[in-house]
This record gives sequence, structure tokens and C-alpha cells, in this order.
Amino acid sequence: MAIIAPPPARAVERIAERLGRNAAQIHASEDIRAFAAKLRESGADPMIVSGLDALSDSAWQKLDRQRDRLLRDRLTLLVLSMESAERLARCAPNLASLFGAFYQWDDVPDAPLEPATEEADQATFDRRAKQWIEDTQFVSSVTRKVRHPAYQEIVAMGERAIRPILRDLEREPRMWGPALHAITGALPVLPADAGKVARVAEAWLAWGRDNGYAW
Amino acid sequence: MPGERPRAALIEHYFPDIVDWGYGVTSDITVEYNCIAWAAGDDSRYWWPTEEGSAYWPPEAPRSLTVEAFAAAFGRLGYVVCDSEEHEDGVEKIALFADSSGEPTHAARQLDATDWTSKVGDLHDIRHPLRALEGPEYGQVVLLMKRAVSRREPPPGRK
Repeated sequence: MAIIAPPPARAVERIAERLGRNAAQIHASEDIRAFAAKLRESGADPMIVSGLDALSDSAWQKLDRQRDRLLRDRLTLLVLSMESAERLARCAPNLASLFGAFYQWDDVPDAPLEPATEEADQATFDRRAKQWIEDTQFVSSVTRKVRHPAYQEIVAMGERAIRPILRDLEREPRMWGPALHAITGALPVLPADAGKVARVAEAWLAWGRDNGYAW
Repeated sequence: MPGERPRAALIEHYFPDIVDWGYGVTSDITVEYNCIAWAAGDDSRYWWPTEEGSAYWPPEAPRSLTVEAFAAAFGRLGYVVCDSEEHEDGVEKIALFADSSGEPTHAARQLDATDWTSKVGDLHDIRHPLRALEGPEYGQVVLLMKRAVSRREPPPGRK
């Protein structure tokens, strides 16, 4: 599963060429019921979905409730704008959790579907984290920090973000708990340690070691 | 005098109008606590109504992103809603900021007749006139609360 943003000219056609003739292209419509039916009924695998920038918050929420029926473990690529990627993360968190890779088109112009390397993941994380810190270091609201598009892009990296996050967390106890929880579902922080940033970081680092992560 | 107070480029980067209001930096940069904790007199942890342990929230207060939930959290510390931001002897006040949708964004605690103290995100503590932080980043003051304070035990942040 991957998200590609922002959509350049002929993105869908160019991705389809790389995926081969079995790739199906589905364009979203404002009639969300018809669009959902089209996704459900399509037997295509892989599936490239475009036109998502037209969807409203409530449309994303409706799709989120049908997540399992819509995608059915098929390789699915969403081609959308950064704004829509943020909307997906905010309004359709269950759906967003299925997408483990987030590519900016300019990052991977020739091979957007190649498996990412650890170095590439680290570089992507570093770029997103820098943006997030610059944009939110004055922000007091944890909710706003987490809602920031760059933070959500890190969450959308899925498991590939875990090592870069743990690496960063070991250097400085930043607000990575919500991202790690969103990716893993784990709750390693003891209630008595809630909010104590050094203890929160230690709890997540211990969780990482206990779960076989080396960073 | 505002001119004698230490200033910080990062604070002025995010709140350019604060220079005209007059402010002073009162701590080093730290990520150990946030504005809600600081307003509540706690410099040991983050306060926010999260679910996964990244922040503390008083167990008796609703975990929701509403002015009512934040008022309940401060209510657990003895604060009650009030109408005036004027300084009163023997009374400590806090102010809650929220954005245009009513989502809480920030809190400040009163220090004296002119200044309040705020932890600015992951940056410094500052002292400032209350309205100096109103604007696009933190929104507006939407709630004032007060409680009686013991003279023998001054609250933290009276620098």
C-alpha cells in the first residue's frame, strides 16, 4: 500500500505503466456511495485510485468505516495532494493505517514502487521531522503537534518509521509516543509516568528492544 | 522595563508582535513540560488529554479537547471560573486560550498586575501581558479561572 503526493501530470498513467497491464485505475467521484461500490466490486490488483482531492471530510469518514471491504489486502496506491493526505490521516485513520509508504513524487520520480531502503527511510524521516519541529516547536497543544502533516506522513510510513523514531527518541525525548502508538498499537507507558518525557521515552525504547528493534 | 528583559529570537520568530507588547524570557528551552502543566504549577511533565501516556491528565477530568474538559482539569486544583483578568491580592488566576473552533491551544498563569507567565510550546517560559499571545497561533483568551493562594507558599514562576 502506498500514498503518492502530490499528483503530478499523468501520474496515474505513469504509475500504471510501471505496474503493468493488470493495474486498474479508479477515479473517485463525489457520489461516495457509487465510488465505494466501484472500489468494492473491482477485482483489480494492483489498484491506483485518483481523484481523491474532491472528497470531503465526511466522505473520508464513510470510506473509513468500510475499510476492510474496500481494499481487501490488494496493493492499492492513492494518488492525492498533500492536503488530502492530511485529511486522510485525520478523517480516516483506520484506512490510513493500511498505507505503509508515503512518497512525494519528486522523491522517487523513476521508481516509486521500489522497496525503500533503510537509508531512504531515515532520510525521509529526517526531512519530515525537521519540518515538523520547525513548524510546531512553539505549539503547546499535543493534538496540534500530532495533527501536523509532516507528523502524519511519518505515521503513514508505518513500521518503517519505527527505527528512525527510536533513534531520534534516544537522542532527545520528543513527542513521538502518539506516532509509535498509532503505528504499533502498543501502550508501554505506565500510568504513573504519563507525561514525564524522559520516562515516556525510556518506556518506548524498552518496548523497541523487547520487540527486536535495533537502531 | 521591557528593554531590560532577556529576549529570545525563536519566541519573536513565532510571535513577532510580542516585542511591541514587551516580554521577558524566564527559563532555558525545555521539553519537560508544556503550557498547561506550567499554568497548573507543574514543571515535571506534559499535561494534555491524550490517551496513550505521552501526557498526564487529571483522572477526574474528561479526556476531551474542549474548554469544559480543561476547566475541569483546573477545577481539580481549586480554580473556579471568573470574569476578570485584573490582578487581585491573594488570588491566582489562569487564562485558557482557544482557536476559532473552540479547541484549547494554550494556558497562562497570572504573576502580578501587569504580567502573566507562559510556557511557549517546547521553547522558553516567558512573562508577558496576557493579550500579547493572542493571535493566529494561540487564538483568543476564552476562559479565566481563579483560586485563593497562600502567601506563605508562592506558586512557581514568580520570577
